[in-house]
Amino acid sequence: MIEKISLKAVSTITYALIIFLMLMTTIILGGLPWIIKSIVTIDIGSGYQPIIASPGLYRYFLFFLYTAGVLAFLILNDLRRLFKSCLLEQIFVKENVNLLLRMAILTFLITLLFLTKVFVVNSLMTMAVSFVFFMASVFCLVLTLLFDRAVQYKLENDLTI
Amino acid sequence: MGKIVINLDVMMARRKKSLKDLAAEVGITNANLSILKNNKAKAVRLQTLEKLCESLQCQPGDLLVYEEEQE
Repeated sequence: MIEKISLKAVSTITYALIIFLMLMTTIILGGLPWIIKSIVTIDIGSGYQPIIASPGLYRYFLFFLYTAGVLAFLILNDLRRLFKSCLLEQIFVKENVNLLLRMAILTFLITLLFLTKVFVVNSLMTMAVSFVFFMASVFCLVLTLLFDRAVQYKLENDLTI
Repeated sequence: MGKIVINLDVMMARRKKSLKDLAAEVGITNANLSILKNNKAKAVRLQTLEKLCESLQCQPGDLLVYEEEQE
């Protein structure tokens, strides 16, 4: 069944999806202050109020979401480059090993960022997202090591005449 | 610790074979034969070695020589 799935077709669809997500991230980051003011509410003792009612929390959320957004954008960009190499059929190359390592570091930074939120405004969702990004970071690290080994095998195979 | 040296250029000169002709006879690309000739290869398939010996009318020992590394 795996032979029927075209790598090029899957890579093209994923590449297009990543471009769309990068575009949406840029738009959301651009309008973040207004989005936070209109959507985010917080309970400060007298019922749910817009986040702007607490300037300190508003600034924290702005910093938190901007940082998470930029890190997410960088991860998406690395993913885009990874899938672009799949489209060019240059999968097992040293550059992809470096990209995966970078993604592992970036996802770990998002984990740390969400952990700070646990101490500021905690929720079950925050802890769940921290855990998910931590697992993603570990997964990327494992992929980095696998790809590194694959690159070594490919190089040996390429230089076997 | 020594290394295996491939004396392909010596045998090619003796048999007056060009890179292009030898690559065509052996069934590998010019680039791959060039890698072999310049001692950049990591490994050689027995099938390739057989075809090289057949084409250059020689023994594997004429092509592959073990040399000790000079310290």
